[in-house]
Amino acid sequence: MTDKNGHPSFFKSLFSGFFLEELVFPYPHMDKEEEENLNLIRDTIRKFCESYVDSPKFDREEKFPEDVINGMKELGLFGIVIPEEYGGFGLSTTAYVKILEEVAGFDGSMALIIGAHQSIGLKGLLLYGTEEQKQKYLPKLATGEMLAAYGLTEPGAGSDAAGIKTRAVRDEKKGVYVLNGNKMWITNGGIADFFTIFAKEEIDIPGEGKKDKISAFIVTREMGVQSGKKEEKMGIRATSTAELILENVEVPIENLLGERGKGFKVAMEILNTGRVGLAGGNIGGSKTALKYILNHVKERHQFGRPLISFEIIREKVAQIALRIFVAESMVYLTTSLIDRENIDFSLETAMCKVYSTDTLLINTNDCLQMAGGIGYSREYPYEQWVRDARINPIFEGTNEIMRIFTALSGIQERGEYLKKIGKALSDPIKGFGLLTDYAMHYMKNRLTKERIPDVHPTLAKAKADFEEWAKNLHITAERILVRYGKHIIKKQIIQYRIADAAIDLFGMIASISRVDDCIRIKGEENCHKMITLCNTFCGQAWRRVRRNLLMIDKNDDDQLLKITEFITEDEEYRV
Amino acid sequence: MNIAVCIKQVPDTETKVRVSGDKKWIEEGEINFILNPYDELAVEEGLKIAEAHSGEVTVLSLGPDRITSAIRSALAMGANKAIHIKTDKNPLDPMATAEALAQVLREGNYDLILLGKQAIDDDHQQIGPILSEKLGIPAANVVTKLEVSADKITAERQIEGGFEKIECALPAIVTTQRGLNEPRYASLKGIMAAKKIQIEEKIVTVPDDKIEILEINYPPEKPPGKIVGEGADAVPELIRLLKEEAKVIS
Amino acid sequence: MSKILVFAEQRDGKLKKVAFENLSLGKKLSTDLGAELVAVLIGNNISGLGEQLGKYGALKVIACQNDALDLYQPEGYAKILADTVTAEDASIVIMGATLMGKDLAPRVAARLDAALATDCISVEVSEGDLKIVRPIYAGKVRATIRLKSDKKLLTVRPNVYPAEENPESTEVIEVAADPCEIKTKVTEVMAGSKDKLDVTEADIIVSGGRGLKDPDNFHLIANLADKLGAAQGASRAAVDAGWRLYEEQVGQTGKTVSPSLYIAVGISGAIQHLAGMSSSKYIVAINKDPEAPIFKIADYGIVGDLFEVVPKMIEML
Repeated sequence: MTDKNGHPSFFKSLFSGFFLEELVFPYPHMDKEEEENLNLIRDTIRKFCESYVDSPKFDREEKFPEDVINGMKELGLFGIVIPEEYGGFGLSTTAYVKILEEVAGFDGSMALIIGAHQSIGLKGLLLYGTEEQKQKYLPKLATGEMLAAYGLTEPGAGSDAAGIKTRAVRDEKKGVYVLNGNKMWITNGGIADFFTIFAKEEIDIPGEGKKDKISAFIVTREMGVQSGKKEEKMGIRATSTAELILENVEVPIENLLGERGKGFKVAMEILNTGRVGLAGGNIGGSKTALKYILNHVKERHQFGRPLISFEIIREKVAQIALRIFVAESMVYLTTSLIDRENIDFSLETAMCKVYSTDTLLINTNDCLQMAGGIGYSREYPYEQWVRDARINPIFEGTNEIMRIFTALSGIQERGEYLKKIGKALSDPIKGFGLLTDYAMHYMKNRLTKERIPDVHPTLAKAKADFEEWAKNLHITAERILVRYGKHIIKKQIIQYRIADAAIDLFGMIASISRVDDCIRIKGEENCHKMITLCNTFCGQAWRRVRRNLLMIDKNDDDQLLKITEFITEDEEYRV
Repeated sequence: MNIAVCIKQVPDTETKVRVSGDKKWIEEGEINFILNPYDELAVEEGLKIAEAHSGEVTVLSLGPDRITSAIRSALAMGANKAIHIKTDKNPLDPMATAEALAQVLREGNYDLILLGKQAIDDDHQQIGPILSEKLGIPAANVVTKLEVSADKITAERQIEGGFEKIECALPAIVTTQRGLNEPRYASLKGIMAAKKIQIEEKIVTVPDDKIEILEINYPPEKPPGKIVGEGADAVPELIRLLKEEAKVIS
Repeated sequence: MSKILVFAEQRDGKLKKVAFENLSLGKKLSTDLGAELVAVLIGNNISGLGEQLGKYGALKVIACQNDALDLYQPEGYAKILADTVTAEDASIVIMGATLMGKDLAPRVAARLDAALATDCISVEVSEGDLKIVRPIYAGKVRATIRLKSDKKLLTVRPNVYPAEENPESTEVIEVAADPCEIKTKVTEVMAGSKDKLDVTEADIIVSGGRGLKDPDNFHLIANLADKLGAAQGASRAAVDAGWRLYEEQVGQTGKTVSPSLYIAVGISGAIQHLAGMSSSKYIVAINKDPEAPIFKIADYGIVGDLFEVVPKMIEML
């Protein structure tokens, strides 16, 4: 199964009943040299953060100090993913995300400043920029002389990104676009000098007439971008999140990013990759919170015993560790897909984002709960962690949108395939080749026990569960497609369940692959922690998958929607 | 100026040290190894001196394969060359370590040899002074202030309640103490550049250890203390206990 | 009869406490081994010090003097001490684990090609040999070791062995020593910031940490230390924050201390700090967080606001 560019997608294929083994087995490794570099970079970040990054203070003062940003520039943290020929360090996505993880373990705002710059701010330039554009801007972006921001969201267009109102009017005579509009919630909005801005322009399309299409632009501060005041936020308070005001900003035509009218694709493509950075950062946050709470539950005594001796606390600690382990397994499998190039990873990054951000919120909240009253006190870091975590399921695509995207892309993939088969069957002679292709492909990759490589016996049960429920996901996708046809678009609760099942399955296969690899390299006796984590998660996960898939047919959705109806009508709770 | 910096890889200060099963050593499995913090000061000082006197810094380190990451850390800070010294034995006692270092240092014709005042793992604190005797050159140890001119150094060495001012001619050895400088952070640029430097390997033979480790143990656990009370109200009782029970104040 | 030689450290004609402590240890070992206890003094104008050493059990004091040795001179001291060890054919040499001892002992060891155990906290005779315990990893663990050379050198941590009087009729032998060529020349001794007591020498230490919140609040630590005649210490957090000078830092990357009383104020007790002070005889912790790890090793703890507790202590002492 491939995307429009012919790139294979692991999960889209899985929805269609195909298991693309080579995308998940064996679990990827970092290049040894890069790993050594990464260890040194982490050391240096640790030392830097221990000396200069006072997260509670930044939060209290709602300010990320300029000298710390300058220190980050000197370290080179703004040029991690920029190729060496443009003055950056050309590290892989995997290394970049691991760096974000390390940074986020010290301060969420700091990670976001780096992430907004590289994951999304300048990503469009990397993906779609012309050589001239890259030469002109990347070296300055690599040193941090220019900080970048991504400007898509508007007051009236959040999740509905296609609904943006910012206008670009092309003035051929002056050789510029004139941009007018406002962008909201822009991370780095007050401190960036380089903006990837999306605006609508009227394009004359042959045969269709004049139409509003989104285009992407490179806009710099000195062209006249103004920033509104810094938003006062619940969490990540040190980041500069601000409105951007574009008032007759003249942008040279050569600063058009990508093709005219193809801006929406640029916007989505940037987010598709960018999301995984966020997912990685969230792992760092979870690890820090866990480390901190462990000290508390070991030291704090109630009823004459340390908290950690109570089962309910032990269970919470274990679940946090499990969630971290699974997030890691998913994220670093996904970053490797990005690094391998020519692979469609859009579903995987979306699932990583959902899982990692949802679980950061759960993890930090559980840590706060275990700390009790101390957790609620502003003298301790727990409440800040919860506040900082809260944004993550919201921005860079809400987790609701991400789930819908995952489910619909998966189901649609199956639909496309069935359509092709349908066409072939209606014209058997013309379609013969296609059918043969299909049959061959089907036989080769069809999700059967033989197709999934043998894993170590200790993981056999987990693997069998994955196989069974992956097959069920595929069958369910096909069934609801037949049942609802194009109306599936409206069935969001079902989509949600499909997505949650898919995420659990992704967690399973990523963990199985990772642990199988660990056993092969280090031997079973040296992987016992991972084996326990993997098998425990897989046990929890397939049961959730079963429940989610069963509930597609047996549920109270109609009742729920009815409740919403009368509550909405009453405009308050009145029963 | 030709500067050598001897460095050691040690477990991170935050490491929980676990005694190995045979009680002869510690479990190395899950330890995060770092460049000895005192050696980091030595690298920084070496780099500063090299910058001021157009010199070159070579780092030398003795140990198993894993120590290359400590060498890389020093190179990433800006050192120019590196020598990884290997022996058939490991670990070594201070006399054997100093002998191995001395053999390699003699070949290098260094004007200045810098190293941390001690390694934070075995805490022997012997290498600097032993090297001084073995190489027959002066050594200023536990130095918190250093001035280097073309042919001599002036140093302040920490002693109880004050400092000793030391002067000696080059070549000389200086062991570094905190307060001397603030080590720089390796930048990504430095880290990437360090990768391109080839680490030279030297194999040396050393005499047998003169120190035999019979056993490694955890310190005896303290009996649980008591919380005397809360807030200022507990002070009279605390003072009474210190006077009457512990008898440490009068 | 074999000999145990104690290097009696002095500065400015004043003997260090550790000299007496080491004589007491030497006395014990000499009894166990049937050895003769000899003290060695090195310096200038030190002849009057011999008698004091006799009080602590030295049968013989060798006072090595030279005009060039007003101050500690590394190579000079090393040569004289090594020569004396050889001349006396001593089998055990005990020095203090002081800044001078730590500089001198390895040099002597190198000259004699002998094994040296530094910073020892226990030295016992077992099966005719010395069984030595020294902390490693800043005290997180302890190594029991044996020295395999004929001559065994030790530096013993101050404050570990009590100085006990064992009066002997002492023979003081004055030697005009030849320090040979001094390459590492100590030109001057400068007092540190004021006449502050160093943490490594102090019997009582009052240390402050991050809980003090502001460098200005360290006057509380200073005042309490004054009242107790204590030295002032600091945690790494306080030093890293630039609130205190490094010379005060207690911990794995600071100084390792074993006072009779260690009072930790506003210090949570990171592993690296505990490593440097956990061998103190009595530990008092004052911290507002009842879960702070420091309470785990404290003999006496007060949970509370240090800004109330410490002034009260100053008032009452």
